[in-house]
Amino acid sequence: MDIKVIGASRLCDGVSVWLDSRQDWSPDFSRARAFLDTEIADVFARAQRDEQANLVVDARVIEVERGDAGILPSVAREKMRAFGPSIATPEHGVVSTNAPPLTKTLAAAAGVYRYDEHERQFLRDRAAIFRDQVRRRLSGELSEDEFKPLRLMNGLYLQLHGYMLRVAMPYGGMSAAQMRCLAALARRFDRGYGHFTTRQNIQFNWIRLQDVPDILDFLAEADLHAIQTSGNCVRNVTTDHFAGAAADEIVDPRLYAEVLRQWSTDHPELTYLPRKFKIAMTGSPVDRAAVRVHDIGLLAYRNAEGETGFQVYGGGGLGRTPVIGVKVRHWLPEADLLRYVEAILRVYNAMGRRDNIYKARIKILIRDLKPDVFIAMIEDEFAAMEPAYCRLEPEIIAAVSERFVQPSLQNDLPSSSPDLAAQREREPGFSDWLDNNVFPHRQKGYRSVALSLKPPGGVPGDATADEMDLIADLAEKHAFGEIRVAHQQNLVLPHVREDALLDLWRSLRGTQLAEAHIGLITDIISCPGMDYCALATARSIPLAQRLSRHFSDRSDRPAIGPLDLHVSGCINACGHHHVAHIGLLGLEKNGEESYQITLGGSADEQAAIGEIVGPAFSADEAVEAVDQIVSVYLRERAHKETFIAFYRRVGAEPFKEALYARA
Amino acid sequence: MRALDRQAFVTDDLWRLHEDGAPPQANDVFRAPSLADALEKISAGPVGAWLPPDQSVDALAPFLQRLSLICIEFPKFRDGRGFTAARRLRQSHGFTGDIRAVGRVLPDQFQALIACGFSSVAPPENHPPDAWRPAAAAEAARPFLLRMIGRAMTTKDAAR
Repeated sequence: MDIKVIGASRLCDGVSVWLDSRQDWSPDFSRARAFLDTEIADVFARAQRDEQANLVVDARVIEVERGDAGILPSVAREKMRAFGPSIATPEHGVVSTNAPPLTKTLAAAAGVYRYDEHERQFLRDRAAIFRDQVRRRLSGELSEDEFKPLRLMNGLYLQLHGYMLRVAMPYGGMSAAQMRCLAALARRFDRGYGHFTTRQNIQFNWIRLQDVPDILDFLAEADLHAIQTSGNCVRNVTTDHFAGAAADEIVDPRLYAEVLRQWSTDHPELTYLPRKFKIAMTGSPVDRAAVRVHDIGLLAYRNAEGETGFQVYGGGGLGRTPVIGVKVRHWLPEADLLRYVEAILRVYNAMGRRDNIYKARIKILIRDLKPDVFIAMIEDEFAAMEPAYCRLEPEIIAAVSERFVQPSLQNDLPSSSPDLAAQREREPGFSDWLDNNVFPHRQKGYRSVALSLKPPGGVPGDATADEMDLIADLAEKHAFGEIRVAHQQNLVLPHVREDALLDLWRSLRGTQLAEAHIGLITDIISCPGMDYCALATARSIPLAQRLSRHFSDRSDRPAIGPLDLHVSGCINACGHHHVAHIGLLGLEKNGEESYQITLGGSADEQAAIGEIVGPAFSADEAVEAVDQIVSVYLRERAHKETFIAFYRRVGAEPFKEALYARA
Repeated sequence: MRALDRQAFVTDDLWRLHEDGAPPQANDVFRAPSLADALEKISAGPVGAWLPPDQSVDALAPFLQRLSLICIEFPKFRDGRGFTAARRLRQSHGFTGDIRAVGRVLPDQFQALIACGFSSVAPPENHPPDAWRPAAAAEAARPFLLRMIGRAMTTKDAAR
């Protein structure tokens, strides 16, 4: 006889609950009552009444099996809800209510846009609006159907174990003071850690709905917010994590990213789009922002007259239908940036598909219309705008630019190269770290430094509150108080004096932040996967952890050279597996996790979508398969040939042979 | 028809949705297929049009001079096509009559509707007029850039 339980999420805190034998909702799965088929209709009707009474959401019937230790859900996602993440989480354990009270800390730091009192008030107002929306939801004035898009626009998801809040790090930048606020938030309202994402944001996994208005108030005082980090609107604009520091940069993209942020925030026309909309930009010919795989990609450069403008790409993206964007404009003058982007979005808002969520992104519209027709429509829309509408006059650009605090870099520092060479001799660990985690800076005597959030066997992108505080201290001591989030889920101190590098490395040594492997095979990108995410079809973190341990132990790791290895837990591709040199996509087949491998993807100026190499592997086999792929490369590469160069030369065949010939 | 004005105060006006087969009269709101025909038959008095979500505003362009009201339909509040339709009517076509949001809209969207050029809202049953006043009264602070470029002003000016 089939047995079933009734599960739901508790509205006020998002906790997974099940009907127990007293027909109360229990957060303890072991108390869930198993019902017979004949009983289920009546009990489910009762659950739906509780849904209507705004006690729970997403009430559902769950298949279970009876085992030795009691009942067990049949499907993986429900198991995850019942027993919690399968990975070890920091010891903090439960959401703390006696963490130190939040204190307002604010200090303008280099590289961060300075808010004025109006802008701070705007964030307070938005928090107040959301406080009212939460009240109306809890009272039933707003239905879940109505509330969901409103909460998503404030970065709040309902996931497997609770609400998840995604806080925006605009174009990946923040100050040390803001980092400390995130640490305080993690301690006070979450379980003492956060997860930095591939979209340069941070997610907190254990948030209670009733706390969110207070959290948004707290963030507002630190010039932080969660606005439009989800929902079918323009999301956080992402950019180069070395912006303003990179030796190869032509235009600092953050100014324009900030302009786009302000323009798109609460945009009256473009907040209920067919689907989400992601804009990325870079100001360097070396594309570290993956602009060709975004809904709009902007490449800032200067023309022969020295004027600033943009190359515009449209319709790129990953997910279910991975596409490299098409170039829609070779040169867009600075003054027209908002007008042109608005024209693109207006065409999309009017014409994008709304009948099928999987075909609603702009890439599908461009494909269906054909790029030439789409470009003509944008140009028509653009031409029909009033000439003065949304024009970025030079004085506007200058005024926004004024708001960025510039780091006071010394322009007369001697090169520290001889000293560094001597320090390398004495400290081999430091030498490795210099080679892999330290990057050229536009100003002589400075470097940019990446802090790895991927210790061997760790959760990619996770940082504990203590680590956040440490990073804030180090940023203040060595880097003008400025911190960046890289889309590879690491953190960056963009301006560090060369003569402070050894000191910085010594401070990091002994922490989980010093792994010297940026861009190497163990610098794995991974989405949260089914351990947290309600959309996932498979876990991704445990596989990333095994791969990380496996290749950290492999003695020839340095010889493998640069290699992007990414893991996504579902077709939505938050782990960006399509643009990995080696990508893994978690799937579910007959209740078992399996992982499909793609090869040869790339997100840079030679953007490419990876090719599926063949049938999927089990989790155990997947580690072995990646190992074999690496071995083929090491065995057959030409001298100093990188993995991606080798792949582009030889294609997928030798890998397919090694992976599947044995069968 | 009962509607809310720009300040979310209730107004009851003479507009009514034209019923198929009935003789066309002034103050009727017509759907696209019958609009051209109706305009020929009605010599005096205001005429309105109904714009369903899947129809482009360009289809109304030939008639805009004769129209006093355009009702833009929202099939779901998450469906934002109506915002773009209103903006296009104001900005690209210079329409100066009443633009009314009808269908499933939320009080939370009131400010955005007005900013896009809507001049009235027909409140749905589940969100009665009283629920809209707080949204209309709220005075919002604005980010720096928007204060400088005045994004919404162009549309508002066109509506007056």
